[in-house]
Amino acid sequence: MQNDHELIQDYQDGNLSAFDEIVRRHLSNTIGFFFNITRDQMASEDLAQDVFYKLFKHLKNFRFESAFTTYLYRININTANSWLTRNKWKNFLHMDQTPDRGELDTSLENEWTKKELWDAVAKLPKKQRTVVMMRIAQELPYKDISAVTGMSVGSAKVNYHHAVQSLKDWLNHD
Amino acid sequence: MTDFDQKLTEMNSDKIPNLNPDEFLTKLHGRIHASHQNRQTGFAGLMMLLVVGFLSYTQWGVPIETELYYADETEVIFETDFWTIDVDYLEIDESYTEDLAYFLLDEGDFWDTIDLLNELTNEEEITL
Repeated sequence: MQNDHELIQDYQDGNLSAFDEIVRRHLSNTIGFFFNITRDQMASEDLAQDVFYKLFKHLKNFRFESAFTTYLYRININTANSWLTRNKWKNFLHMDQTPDRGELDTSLENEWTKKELWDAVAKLPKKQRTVVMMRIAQELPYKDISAVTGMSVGSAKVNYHHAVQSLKDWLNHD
Repeated sequence: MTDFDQKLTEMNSDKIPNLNPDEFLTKLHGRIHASHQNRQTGFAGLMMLLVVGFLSYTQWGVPIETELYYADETEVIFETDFWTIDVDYLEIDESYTEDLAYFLLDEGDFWDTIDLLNELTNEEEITL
């Protein structure tokens, strides 16, 4: 079985089925990441389409300097950041439309819903938001977060700590 | 890990249902194909615009010339068919008068010939 770098090399050599294999291999993880953020299967598939479309366009320039997963996480994070920012404005413009809590989150009996959580995450500063997304939606260890974002492990921990404090305040007081 | 952290992680541990990679790949390839076509259409449109723009600039093949809004010679301004007719008429009149002058000279009417030639010269000056 070929590893990611071998498949990318094949794709760069013109073998398009190698790209399909890359997609199949990372699809579940990518959609899972977006599903955790959007709570909507259609939206998560659309975002995953965006990610793999970007990948299709840019993978020819992949320089094999980092692990492919690191590269993919970066695209995931950028796409999720864009979606959260877009969604924040959408929510702002539809402030009068209060969501139906039952439809949004029926499986958990929390004081706050997932929507409220991710709306709050959208309000975080970009660095904190990125770390939170990777910790919560992707469940990545700090070491991997450090590799993807380029910040040190300590910085990632501090950012996560501040983010969690802010979320706790916002969600428990709103 | 605090309770809050634990709750955050648990909240996002849902598994995504009904994932069909083949369907996803079909959609993705459709999108890539559509994007490729859009790019080609955009490029063709841009080229068309450039060609139309260039042809408009060159007046559809007419060579670019600096237009003169003034004439070097006044005759160009007043050159009309009537003018041409008038000139032709003057030339005919001249040859007729010259023939007449030769006739008068042959007849020996020297002073009449001089008068006729003077008249012709004066008429030319008036006309011009």
